[in-house]
Amino acid sequence: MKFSLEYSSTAFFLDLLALSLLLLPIYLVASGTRTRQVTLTLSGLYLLLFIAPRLALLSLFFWLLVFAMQRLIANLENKAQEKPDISSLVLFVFIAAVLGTLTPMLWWKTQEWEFVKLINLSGNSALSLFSRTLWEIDLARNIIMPVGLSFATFRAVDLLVKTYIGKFRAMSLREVFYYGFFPPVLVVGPIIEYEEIKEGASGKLPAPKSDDFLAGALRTAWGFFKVLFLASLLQPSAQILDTFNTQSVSTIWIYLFVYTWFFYINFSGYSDIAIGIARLYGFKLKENFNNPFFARNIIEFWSSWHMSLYRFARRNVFVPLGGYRENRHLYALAGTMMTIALWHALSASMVTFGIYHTIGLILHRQFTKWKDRNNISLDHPAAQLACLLFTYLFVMLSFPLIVLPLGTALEFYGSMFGM
Amino acid sequence: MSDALLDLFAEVLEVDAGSLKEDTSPDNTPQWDSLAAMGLVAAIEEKFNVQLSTKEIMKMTTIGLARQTLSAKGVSF
Amino acid sequence: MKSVDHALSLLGYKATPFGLVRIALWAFLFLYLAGLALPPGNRTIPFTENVVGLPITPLVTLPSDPAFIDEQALPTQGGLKIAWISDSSSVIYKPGAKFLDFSAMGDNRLLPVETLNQLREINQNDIHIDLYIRLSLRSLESYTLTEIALERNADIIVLTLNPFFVFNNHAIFKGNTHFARATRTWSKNPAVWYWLALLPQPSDHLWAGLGRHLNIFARAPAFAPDVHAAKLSLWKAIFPQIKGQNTDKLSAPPSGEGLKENSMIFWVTQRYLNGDLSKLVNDKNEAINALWYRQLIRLADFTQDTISRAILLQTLERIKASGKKAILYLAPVSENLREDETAWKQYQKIKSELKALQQVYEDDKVKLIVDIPPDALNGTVFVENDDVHLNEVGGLSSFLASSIASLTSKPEQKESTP
Repeated sequence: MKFSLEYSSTAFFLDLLALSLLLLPIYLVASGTRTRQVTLTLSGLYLLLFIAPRLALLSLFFWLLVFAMQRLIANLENKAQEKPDISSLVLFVFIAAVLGTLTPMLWWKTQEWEFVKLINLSGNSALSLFSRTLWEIDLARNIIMPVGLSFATFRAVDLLVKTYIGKFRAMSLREVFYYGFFPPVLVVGPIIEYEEIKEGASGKLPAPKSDDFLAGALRTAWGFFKVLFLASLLQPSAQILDTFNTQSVSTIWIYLFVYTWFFYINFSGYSDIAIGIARLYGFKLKENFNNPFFARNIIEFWSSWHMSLYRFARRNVFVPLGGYRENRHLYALAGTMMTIALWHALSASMVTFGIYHTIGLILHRQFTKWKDRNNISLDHPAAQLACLLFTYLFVMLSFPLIVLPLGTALEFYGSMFGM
Repeated sequence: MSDALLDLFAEVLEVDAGSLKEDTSPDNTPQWDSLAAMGLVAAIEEKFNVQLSTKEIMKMTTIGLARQTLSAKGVSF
Repeated sequence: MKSVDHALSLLGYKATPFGLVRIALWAFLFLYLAGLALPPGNRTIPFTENVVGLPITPLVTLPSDPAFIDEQALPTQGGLKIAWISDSSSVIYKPGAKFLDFSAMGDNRLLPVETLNQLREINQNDIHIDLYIRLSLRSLESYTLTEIALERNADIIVLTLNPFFVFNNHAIFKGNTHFARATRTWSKNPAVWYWLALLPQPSDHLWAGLGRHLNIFARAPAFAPDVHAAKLSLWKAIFPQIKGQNTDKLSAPPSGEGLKENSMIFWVTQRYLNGDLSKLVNDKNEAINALWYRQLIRLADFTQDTISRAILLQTLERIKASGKKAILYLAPVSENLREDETAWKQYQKIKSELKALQQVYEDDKVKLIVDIPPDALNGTVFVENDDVHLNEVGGLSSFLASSIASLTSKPEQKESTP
């Protein structure tokens, strides 16, 4: 059997749907918050077993550490309320905890094969301490990629940041695991916040009403339609990434155009499924895409593309870097874009991607100021359309950087412009 | 309903004060997200005569939370 | 599309529990009718071209097809029915043939065909063989096929035990497409119920359940290649063609980089060879079967409660409980395996483990053949640099034929000598 560095999220969602046939009735009958949290946590863990038991074990370990760090920060933060002189200690502990949480992801993104080897071998060995059967089944599972690690990392960081700024008290292990293993978002996001899945005003987790169920089912079906039909129809456009050297300029442009749509439909389709399935259980997760390719400027694009990542970066990078202060604004903006870019991969092409979009955002700011000073209006439909097309073109041109190494991406641009 | 804080947000974000609520946040208000929000902190600090730490600013994810944070610093509206 | 909510409110539809039930019933009815309208479709069954004109029915689907078994194949009427469950060790490869190339299998001969010819020579004529051969078949799939063969009323089961995999916990199954079918079969054996929770995915259970009651789920996989082709031709009709299209990446020979993604190669190289891939490959970075298999046989685990042993024991138990006749034979290996002392010792150990099982399970209906007599391997030629795949069958087929014949004649002998 081939080891796979890629993982089919469709398989995960089909499993979750199948499991939901059993899970939803339990969830509905067991109305207590604890029972519901535990039910969802266990099903998340169970689904991870089918990727690989070692991954389930490592995730448990990761979230156990997050639990410990969250508790430590919360308690220190409490003490600092009474004794402000320890606030710099709290800050130090907080920063250390965040760096610790980021370490596995950064390690993976800088030394992929070394990291993959380490976690698979150590995870498998550790399993043998717990269960011979699970250890044997683990040997037969072929996914070696740490599925969902990037998403889990940012979920965890968000939790720690919110604890540090005093939004969350010390949480129980049950609550942290519930957040860590909430099934719909385990493998491809969105990067949810704890607030999105916590008890409502009634003090209870949401229970699905009939219209939640219908909307969730339709949303899920729509997501599967996008992923399995629309995206797979457009998938051949990816060939251009391997063969651009020998294609005509027009073919490259057409294929790249279609490829951006493939990418968007595929990714947003998965988000639809995740949000749809969560809705079956009554959860209304925040949106992850809002027609990004119809954005009329680059800031609109970024606030409608992979919105959960964008919101994360705004809360945890843009604001702390001083985005709301005039003198630090551009600096914070660059930090935000680089975070978004490097989250995908720590590569030269993603650095370039980050710089490209930072420049785009700065130029947009300057243009807006200039436009306002000179009382120029872009409200005319034709002007709006031009803005839309220009924004789309700007975004489309950055796509080769997401999927190609920098050298190849530069060759791609050469071919695009007939060089 | 109108008070000093809502007026300030309305002015900085260049929106109608009537459209602002306690749960107004960057997630539901595009203006909070763009260029306008750049001067937000300076405006609050100047108007209410307080100094805001990074931590406090991070807490202000909605107008309601901004009000709470400022109240905790002794500001009355 | 968050406009789902919006669309629903525009339609003015207010969902109620009763309404949801009604929608579900309509959906079920629609799927049911669509399933009736959907024709059975043409499954590709490997080895069909190898057995033209012979009383042999190949049954196992391509590895990509979750049906696993061609359910439409008609059961045999009368005669002696042999179920032949095996892997690539039952293929007699033309020199230079690729091991896993399904499309070129028609060029190779098959051990069951040769054995059938031998059986005819010793006047065993009214014989039909259900052929359950899949390349890279592993023990768990063999177990499932054994259960299926018993369901299909085989008179004799012939099952190959591959020495390189029989006690190997790293390779109990290959791919997971067989689970949707296996789920149904396993549920009949309480001893393996815990597998149901750990090995097939929840979606396999769902698929198995749906496939049982709704035609459309059972039949749809047969159309996957057609749907794929239709999508490609739609693409070709709309968009300009790419020049110099890439060759199919799957058929590319394994490179050093690709090899480390093979799950067993991963464990072997990382855990047992200090990451040194060069011990398994030639100068073109292709895995050398013999070297590679000699590493695999080191993984054999003789601990009492391993999953590989549980699978083997269940296979034996179920055959025993059915009262059917069976020959389980350990596939012969090349003498060249002696070149690797550790591997050879391991092979001897596998044999002695199997001989211990022989003591428990062998009787006049079930034979567990561990040692194939040396003269039965006269003329048997193994593939170069390979310890288990065959180029020439030699005396193996007549040995198996006489083993089968002796099983079938035994009961009559007993009856005639009261």
